[in-house]
Amino acid sequence: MDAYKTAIRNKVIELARKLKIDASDLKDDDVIPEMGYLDSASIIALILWYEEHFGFELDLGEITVDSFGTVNAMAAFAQSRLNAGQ
Amino acid sequence: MVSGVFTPRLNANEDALTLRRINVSIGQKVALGDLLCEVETTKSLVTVEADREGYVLALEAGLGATVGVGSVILWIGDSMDERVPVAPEAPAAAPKADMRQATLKAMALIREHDVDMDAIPFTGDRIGVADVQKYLESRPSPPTTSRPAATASLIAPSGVRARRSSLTPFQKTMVRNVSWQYREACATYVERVYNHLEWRKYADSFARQHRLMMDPMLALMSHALVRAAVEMPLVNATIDGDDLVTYETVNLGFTVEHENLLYLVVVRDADALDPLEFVRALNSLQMKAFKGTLRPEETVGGTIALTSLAKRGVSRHVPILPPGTAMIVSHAAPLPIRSMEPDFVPCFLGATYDHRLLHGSQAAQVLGRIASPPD
Repeated sequence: MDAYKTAIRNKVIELARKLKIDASDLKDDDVIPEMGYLDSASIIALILWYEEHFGFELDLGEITVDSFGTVNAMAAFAQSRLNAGQ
Repeated sequence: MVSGVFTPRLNANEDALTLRRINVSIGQKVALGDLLCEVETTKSLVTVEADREGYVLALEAGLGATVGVGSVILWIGDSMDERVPVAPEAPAAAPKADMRQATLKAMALIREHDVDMDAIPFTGDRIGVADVQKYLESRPSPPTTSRPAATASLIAPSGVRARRSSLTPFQKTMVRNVSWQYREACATYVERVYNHLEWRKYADSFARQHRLMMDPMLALMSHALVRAAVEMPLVNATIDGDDLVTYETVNLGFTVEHENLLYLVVVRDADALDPLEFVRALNSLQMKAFKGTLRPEETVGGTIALTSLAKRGVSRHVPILPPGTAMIVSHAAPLPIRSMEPDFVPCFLGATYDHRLLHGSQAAQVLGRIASPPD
């Protein structure tokens, strides 16, 4: 789980850096869309990376703040999907 | 397999025809027998139909162009991934001793300036561009005020090292779109200032209410444009020859930029969607554009459009009208100035509109309906 969180956090920081924004102080329970680190295009890029990294596709209805809004939520969602697939 | 649709010979004396109407666009799926275009001789107007099913990959000629008999008008392929071949030259027609002949470019110039062909002196076996230009310069009357041909100023300078290659399908679409506005529509621009903060607060509240990950502001502004088009049908229309074509549904085109390519994704039947459904439909198309999985029909058929360069920090821009539309709204970044009014962050909202259909006051009314979020 910690590895998931690290990978997700690093990706958010990398995408923010492309927008010339320093997101290195991102906390795992910060609500990403409300922090102003990423614009819409970067959030799409984050979701596409997430699908590729964890190896499953998402329905648009699944992409909500509750399941993807924070590093913690994204990691937990990946964990549950991967467990369900095993 | 890619195959060309060729210009038919309609009578023995005419080696070139004029493309009077194009009924398809790049990316459109066609079936056997579908009407593709109409070509005209001096005596008749004839329709050209698809001789197979497939996707329109490229158009080799624009509306009003003079096309040689036997030359390719457009290409059809099994899928949008197929490569368009270089168009073969039209077979040369044997000149007739008692009939004046002109090259295709010369013919285009003759038609553009409405010149009597018989009055042009020429050397060689046919009238060339230089002959027409020389004749035009020697004419006592001033030249007509018709628009110059789109290609007239696009001659590459000689003596400059250059590489020549075919336009990609994306570039061809761009050329076609810009040319349509230049040749057909009477594009005019109007803009107004609105309060960015008001929309920002509304969109943030909407996102919180529906637990959205992606900022819905532009989608919600687009939905407001859809509602305006429902209330003002002339905004959701175009002119085709002598006909007014009023669309019965609103298909909202929205530009998505990814890897330096601009896609115009189209939310079909947008007038039947509530704001949340519309936001989700547009987000889905944006995701597909990023994944490269857009289907051809998801990028054509827009009847009105919205585009934004806010991400690029642009504070105002004048967009090009997509073919067959009467209006495209431009959104931009907030201005880096302070307003005298507290809580007012000024931002330009612009619209390019077809002045053949709408006047400035009507275009301004549409902007007025988008300038503030719904109550």
